Amino acid sequence: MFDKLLIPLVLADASGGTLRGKTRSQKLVFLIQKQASTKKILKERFDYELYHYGPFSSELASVVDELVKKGYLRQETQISPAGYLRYAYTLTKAGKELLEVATEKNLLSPELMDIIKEVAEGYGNLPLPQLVEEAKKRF
Amino acid sequence: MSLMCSGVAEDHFLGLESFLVESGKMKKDDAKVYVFGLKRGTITSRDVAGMTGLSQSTAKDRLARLADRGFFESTLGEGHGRGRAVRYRALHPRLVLKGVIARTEELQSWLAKIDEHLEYLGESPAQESDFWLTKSHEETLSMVASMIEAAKEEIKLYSHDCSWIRVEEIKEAIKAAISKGVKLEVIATNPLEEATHELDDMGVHLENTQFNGPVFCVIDGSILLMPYKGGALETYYYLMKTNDKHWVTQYLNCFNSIKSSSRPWGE
Repeated sequence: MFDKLLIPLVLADASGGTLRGKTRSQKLVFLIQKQASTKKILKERFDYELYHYGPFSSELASVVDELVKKGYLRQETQISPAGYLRYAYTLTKAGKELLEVATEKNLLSPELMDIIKEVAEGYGNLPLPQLVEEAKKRF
Repeated sequence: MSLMCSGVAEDHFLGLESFLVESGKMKKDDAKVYVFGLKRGTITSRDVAGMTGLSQSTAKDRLARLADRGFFESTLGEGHGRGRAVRYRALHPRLVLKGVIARTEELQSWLAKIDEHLEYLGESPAQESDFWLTKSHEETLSMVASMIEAAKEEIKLYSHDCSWIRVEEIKEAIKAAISKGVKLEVIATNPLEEATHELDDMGVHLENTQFNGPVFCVIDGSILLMPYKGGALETYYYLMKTNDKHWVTQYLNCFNSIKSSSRPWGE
C-alpha cells in the first residue's frame, strides 16, 4: 500500500517539488515501475492500460487525487506554451514530512528511491510527445 | 416528526434535490416530493398535499406515478379510515441514481483521458496569433482565476474601478499567486475603496491614473486578457485572450506608459 502512495510523492520531490502535468506524471510512474520490475523491488504496482497517449493508470489518477485531498500534494494550474491550462502537483509541507517519516522507517526501498530519481532526471524534462513515445515503446 | 434527520443537513437534501432536477432525472415538483419522502421516511398523499398545497387526489396521483417510476415503494392496497392510507417510502438515492452514478464514474475516466489529450496539445510550441473569445460568464471567471493562479512571475493589471475584487474566485487566485511570489501591479482609474483596502491587505500597492482606456491584464509578459462587451438585451462582459507577441508587447508598453504618468493612490 505504501509504494503506491509514496511513489508520486517521491517523484514530485525528485522533480524539484512539482509534478508538471497529469500526463507527464502518468508516464514517469510507468517508467519507474518498468525499471523497478526488472529488479523485482516493487511490492505493489499500478495497473496500466495502453491507449492513444501511451500507458495510463486510472488507479494512479485516483491516488494522486487522494494525495491532494489529504493535503500531501497541492493541485495547481499552469499555462502551457500554447495557452492551454494544465495541472501541476506540488509537494506540501505535510507531504514532505510524510516523506521524511517514510524514509526514516524505510517504507520505500533505497533502490526504488534511486530509480525514481534516475527516471525524474533522465525523462522528467523530455518534451511530452517524446516521453509518451518512450513510454509506449516500453509498454 | 421533525423534518430534519439527524446528521443530515438541509443543504444535503437541497443539493440532492437540485441534482435530480439538473441531471434531468426529475421535474422540480417531483424532486421536492421525493426528497420530502427521504426526509420523512414514510409519507402519505395527505402529507404531500400538506407540503405542496396540492389537492389530496393530485398528491395521490403524483405519489403513485413516482412509485411507478421507481422512486418510492408503497404499502399494498388502500383501506378505509385513518391510518389506512397507502404509505410510501422513498427508495435509497443510490438505487435511484445507480445509472447516473455509473455514468459519472465513466465520465471521470473520460475526463482523465481528455486531460491528457489537452496537455499533449498544450505542449506544442505553437505561437498563437489569434484573439480567443470566451462567452460564458461563469467559465470566464474560472478561466481568469486559473490564469492568475498559474502566473509564474508577474501580473500587470490596468482597471477602472477594480470591482473584480468582489469576485471571490478571482480574489483567492490573486492571493494564491502572491503567496507563490508573483508580483502583482495594479493601476486603476477610479478604484473602489474596498478594492484599495483589499489589495492593501494583500500587500499590493495600488496606483491611480487619469488615463481612461480599455481594461487589460498581462500575465508573465506572455498572455493578454481583456474584457469584451457584448449581449443583446443586457450588457455582458466576455473574455478575450491572446498570446500573440505583438499585442502582448503593445499592451505591456501601454501599461508602462500609464504607470510612468500615474501617482500612488491618495498621495
